[in-house]
Amino acid sequence: MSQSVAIKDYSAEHTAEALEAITRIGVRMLRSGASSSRTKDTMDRVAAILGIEHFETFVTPTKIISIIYGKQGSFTRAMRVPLLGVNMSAMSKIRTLILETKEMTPDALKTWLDALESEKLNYTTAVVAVAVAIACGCFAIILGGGLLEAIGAALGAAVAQIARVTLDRRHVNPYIITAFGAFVASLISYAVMKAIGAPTPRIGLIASVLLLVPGVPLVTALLDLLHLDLISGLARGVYAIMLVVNIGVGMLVVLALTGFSIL
Amino acid sequence: MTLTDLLLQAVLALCVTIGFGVLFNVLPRALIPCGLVGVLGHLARFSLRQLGVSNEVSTFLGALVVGLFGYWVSRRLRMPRLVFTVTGIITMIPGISAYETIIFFSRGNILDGLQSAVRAGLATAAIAIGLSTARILTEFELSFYS
Repeated sequence: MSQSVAIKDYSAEHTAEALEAITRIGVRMLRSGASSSRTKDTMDRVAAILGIEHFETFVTPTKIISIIYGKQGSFTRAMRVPLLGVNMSAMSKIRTLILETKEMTPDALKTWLDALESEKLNYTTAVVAVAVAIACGCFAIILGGGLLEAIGAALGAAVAQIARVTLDRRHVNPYIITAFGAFVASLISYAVMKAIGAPTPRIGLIASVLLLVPGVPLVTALLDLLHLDLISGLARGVYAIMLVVNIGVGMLVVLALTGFSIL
Repeated sequence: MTLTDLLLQAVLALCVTIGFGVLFNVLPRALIPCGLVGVLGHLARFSLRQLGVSNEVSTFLGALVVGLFGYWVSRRLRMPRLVFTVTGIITMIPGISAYETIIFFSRGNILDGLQSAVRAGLATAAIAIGLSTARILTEFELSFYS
């Protein structure tokens, strides 16, 4: 570790507090879409910033177990990661914290974390829906479609994004959200393209579900595997594959309704 | 491949990448850098494809560009590299082969379905290998284990 912070002599109570704060940072990282190896590295650095000498942690995509070995004995803390989302902003802020902070108390870290948790997203639901619609529309053109396919993809994607956010707020299982999102996106984009007479509806259909592709789990699975964190890498990879299969399931329903005629 | 083609592709890639940046809640000041990483990667892949290079090789090189340029940008902005790499590779997702896999399988055409599935898998692997190569080139610690 590059930081050279003096090792603090914490009381038992303070050690437990420090351990809780460090583990919460880890949970926040995983919930923001960070890889397990990056999360572990961040927690190690935070432990160093707090002045803890012996810190060890076991990070899996859905659970963190961390241990401090101190003069007062050894302390363990396990925390579950409620939901795997993506929040690059939170990840960036934690990165800035560990790059720019030399020393911190557990209390200050907890206050900082509370502030981070209560922060709103940078963009409102409507803005995200529009951005996703534009992205999926442009993707349709990259895939070789025309303006009509782009319109179909954009509308399907926007509605699917709103549906996804709505279900996500009610803590619906991610597999159900993905399958339902794919169903809504392809149904709406197909209906729109049929109405405006798009020549290659399959392009619009493909582009409309792009927003559901698990890009972050796929890339972090790769990163974990590269860092020899095989357990996390495999778990994330399987999660990503499950989501991809669910996109297929959602689309299949629409394809069955149209008699598998969209090629 | 004319200049207008390239410009159009650049604008499209910029929109796709920034759109996903918004979806992933990237900080506003990092959106344009994200977009530029995506544009460079997509242009590299697109021009190689136009020059007749195979899909897998051009995807690999495109992902490598995303990984290397993303590294540089993340250093400058002091942000996690993931922010720029995940958004940058979105334009390379093999949507058509993945879709064909579903269609062929659902029609009972196992052979063609497998062919599309392998093609989609190879393109995904090309992205993975491109990003990994960039990581290993830039993260010296990764070449050794502690």
